[in-house]
Amino acid sequence: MQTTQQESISEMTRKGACLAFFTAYDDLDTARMIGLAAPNATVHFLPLGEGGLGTFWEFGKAVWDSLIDSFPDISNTVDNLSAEGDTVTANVTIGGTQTKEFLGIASKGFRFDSDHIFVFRFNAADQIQSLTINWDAASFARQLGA
Amino acid sequence: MRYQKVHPSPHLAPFVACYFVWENDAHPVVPLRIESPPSGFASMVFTYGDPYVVQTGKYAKTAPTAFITGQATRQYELQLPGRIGMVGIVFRPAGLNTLFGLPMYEFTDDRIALTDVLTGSITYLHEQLCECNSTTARINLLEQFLNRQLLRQGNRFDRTDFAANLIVDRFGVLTVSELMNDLYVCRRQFERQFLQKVGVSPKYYARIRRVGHVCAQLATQRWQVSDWQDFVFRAGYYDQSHFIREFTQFTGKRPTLYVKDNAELSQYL
Repeated sequence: MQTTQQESISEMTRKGACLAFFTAYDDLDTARMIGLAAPNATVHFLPLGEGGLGTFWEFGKAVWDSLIDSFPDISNTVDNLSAEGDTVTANVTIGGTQTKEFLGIASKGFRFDSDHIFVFRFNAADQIQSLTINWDAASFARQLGA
Repeated sequence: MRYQKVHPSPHLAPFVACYFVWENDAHPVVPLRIESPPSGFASMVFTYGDPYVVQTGKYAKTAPTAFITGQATRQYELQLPGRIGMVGIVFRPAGLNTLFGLPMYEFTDDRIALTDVLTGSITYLHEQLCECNSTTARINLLEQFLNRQLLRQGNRFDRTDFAANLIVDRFGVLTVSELMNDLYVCRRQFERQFLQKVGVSPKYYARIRRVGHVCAQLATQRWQVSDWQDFVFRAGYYDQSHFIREFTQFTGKRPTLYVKDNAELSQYL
């Protein structure tokens, strides 16, 4: 019984950490975003294939900085968070207006709105240990006029 | 099998949709398996019957004897092998947060033991509920419990409660933009508060409410739908494929299959 209680409380803490991540993302504060992850954490932007896998602190920050630079009004809406064991899955809608080239897509000033799935895995210290992010890349490119 | 709903006192109605009691007298010959689609309501449940299992797409586990459950975003199944005995409070979507200050995103798709969340008299309340020998006495205990909480917290009904209740009253057929125009709020602030108070985003909640209402209508009509096109349109969907996509996502079944072999909780209501 004690173990069950500790697990449920731990999951609650982790959902809060995910929410803090998205609040920081909404505030365009990448330093706060990566501060929630362990130093050796990884991030995988699944639609980018093997090239989308890297360290959370360096690679992740670079991708998010680039996104914010190309979509200065980028914002997110957390639709829901569900926890299971050491994993929290977040359904998130992300949208923004393109002002600069991003991942080879030239800016035409179009806006995208796209459903994303973030899967966070946490370590025993309640830090993000890995994150995978998936979205409909074809729809994303189409909305931006690619 | 008895499933009874009781309306709350008027001063609690902005926070509470109803109380419910669900009982049977005898052990069923075969374990009862009952499905429930997402309803759009959160609840607080106290069990005084035999333990039962909740099966979702993610897990199958024995429900705590007294628990809070937040918004369900998927269909779930109750497996009840023994005597059923439970009483509970069905809250309006933001009611649990407004009365107890709980961050509702923590409870989405989950059942958290009340003893993990609320301290103090909750164990005593559960013991009292178990000892009661009538539905009226149990409902009175729950109402007194909520009255004490309302006095302690003060009436903190706000625009998020209003917006969430409006989505309920309109069966999810409205847009977030319409809501924001009515409330004069900034989208970001509104969405963050809604997530905190309801457990999901306003747009997502409207989708849950729409599907929940569709399932309730199907049950009320005993799954007899003569004109699907009209049914789909009145439920607020653009077209049939939009309806099928949404319905399948939240219930895990296509509408025709759902109608064919449904055994959901609402047929006992």
